[in-house]
Amino acid sequence: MSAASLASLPAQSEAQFRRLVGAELLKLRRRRTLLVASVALIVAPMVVSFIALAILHAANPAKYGPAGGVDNLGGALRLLTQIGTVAAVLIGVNAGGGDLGAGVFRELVVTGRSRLALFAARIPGGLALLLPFVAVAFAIAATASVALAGRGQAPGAGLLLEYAGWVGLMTTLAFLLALGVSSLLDSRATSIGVLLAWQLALAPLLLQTGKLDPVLLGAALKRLEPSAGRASISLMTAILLIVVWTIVPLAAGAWRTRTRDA
Amino acid sequence: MSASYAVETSGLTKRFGDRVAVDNVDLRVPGGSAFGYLGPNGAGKTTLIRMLLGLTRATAGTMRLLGRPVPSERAAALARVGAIVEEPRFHRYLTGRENLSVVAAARERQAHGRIESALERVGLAERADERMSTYSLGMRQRLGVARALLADPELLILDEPTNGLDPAGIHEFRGMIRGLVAEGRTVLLSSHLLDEVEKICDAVAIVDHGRVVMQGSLAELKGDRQTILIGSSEGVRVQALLAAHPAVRSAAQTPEGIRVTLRPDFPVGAEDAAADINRFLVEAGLAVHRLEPTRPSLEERFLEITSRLGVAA
Repeated sequence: MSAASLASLPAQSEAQFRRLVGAELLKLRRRRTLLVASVALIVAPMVVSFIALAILHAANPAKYGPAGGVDNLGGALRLLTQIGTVAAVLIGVNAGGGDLGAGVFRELVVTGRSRLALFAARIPGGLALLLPFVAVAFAIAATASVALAGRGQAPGAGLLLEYAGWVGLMTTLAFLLALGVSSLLDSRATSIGVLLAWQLALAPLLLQTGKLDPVLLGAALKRLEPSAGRASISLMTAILLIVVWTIVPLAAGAWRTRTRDA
Repeated sequence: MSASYAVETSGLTKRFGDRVAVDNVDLRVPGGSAFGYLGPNGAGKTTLIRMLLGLTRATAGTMRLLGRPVPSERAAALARVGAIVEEPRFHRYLTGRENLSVVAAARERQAHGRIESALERVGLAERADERMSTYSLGMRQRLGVARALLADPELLILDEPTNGLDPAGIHEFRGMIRGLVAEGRTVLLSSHLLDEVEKICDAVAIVDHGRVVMQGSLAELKGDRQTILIGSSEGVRVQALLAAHPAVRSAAQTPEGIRVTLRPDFPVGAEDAAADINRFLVEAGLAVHRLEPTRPSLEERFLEITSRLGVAA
């Protein structure tokens, strides 16, 4: 192999990986039900909640304050992270288990492409579908919170940036967790059940007890939430928790993808 | 091991617990040929193919594809291998073209450029933009072949490829395989259909209970044993008389007539022996209405060789 061809290898690998990511995105964006669910769970709640707040304010300004402002932004984005997490789980599970569920994984393995590359491409491929929805939802919430704010209540650019980062982090982590778990398990239905039970029931319950905060991802994300109240864990612990909760499921999913019979 | 073989295995073994699915298989598939891997259902054909393609790990033994050891050089070896394993699977909500595009993304850059020609070759160009959920099994099989062709393969590994094809589709498929071999490609085709293998393949390995019990060219497998089929209304007398003929090793009554097996050391060929036997019977006053030199079919050899059918018989 010549020096020139050796030098072109990283570029070839990068182009190859981009093609894999494009294929992952194609597989996800052509699932109509997934797209509908993503709009319904990520974008629609923002539209509905600000319209409802605006109607309430218009109907009874004395009782209901302006629809915008910092408080309503925080409330809307907490709603986004809770309901949007469900969409992130659905996208993550489809990205992680879609090929296996359809029996197409073996067709990809027989191309000789590295199984780890096939797994890794699911991450940007899935995020490329998820994050635009989250960005649109956030843009709606941010715009409404500024446009519909009362005098002096509009959130500043700094706070909006903090919220943008926090919402992005929340949904990305939910996606990565789902991707890892669904790559680990054989069944998409089981993965969705386990993840939603964890996200919507078990984790909030454990958070309420306050006893397991040093190991719960929810506690770490709460620690990073803008305008949050008293924190139960330190910033360093929160960062460490996020790293662990990202790496462990992804590593488990990658291991299973590499070792399973296709 | 030599690079002139498209597939070589040595001592290849796969166990599932106590059960041995593939048992110490030494397989040699010559390059540029259509090679049949023939065996009854459950003989271990698919498991061997799955090991060759890296879908499951071998318990023991070594493998080479296109001269490269696998799994150590699996990526380079499989870059020029196209395969269909069992029933080809696709994302049902994607179109045929999109499904090919997904797999092309996992192959070299040029694979995308082969999508159209592959679709045309299997006769699906006009249906390529329809969702897979509307495809029949036969169409899915053909799209599976198109997907295998995206690799511009030197070696095609096809597991029971005619499943689901109608007679016209099977005929078309045979022509396509022979066309691929004529282009210098190697086709390894697993099947339990003797007729299919006999019509398509140049060489065959017969597998039973996970073991390759015989391999070689079709002519080698069928052997040089020659037989003559005789039709007569006086079968019992014909049989008794033929026992005394010097060219005859045995004569047995079959549904088609009396099958006479010639002595391999008889100095003349089957046609001359047939003429001699005909004269012999006519001179004895026996009417013969059929006399046909034949070679044993692959089916007969298969029935002789495979232990399962041997036990059943």
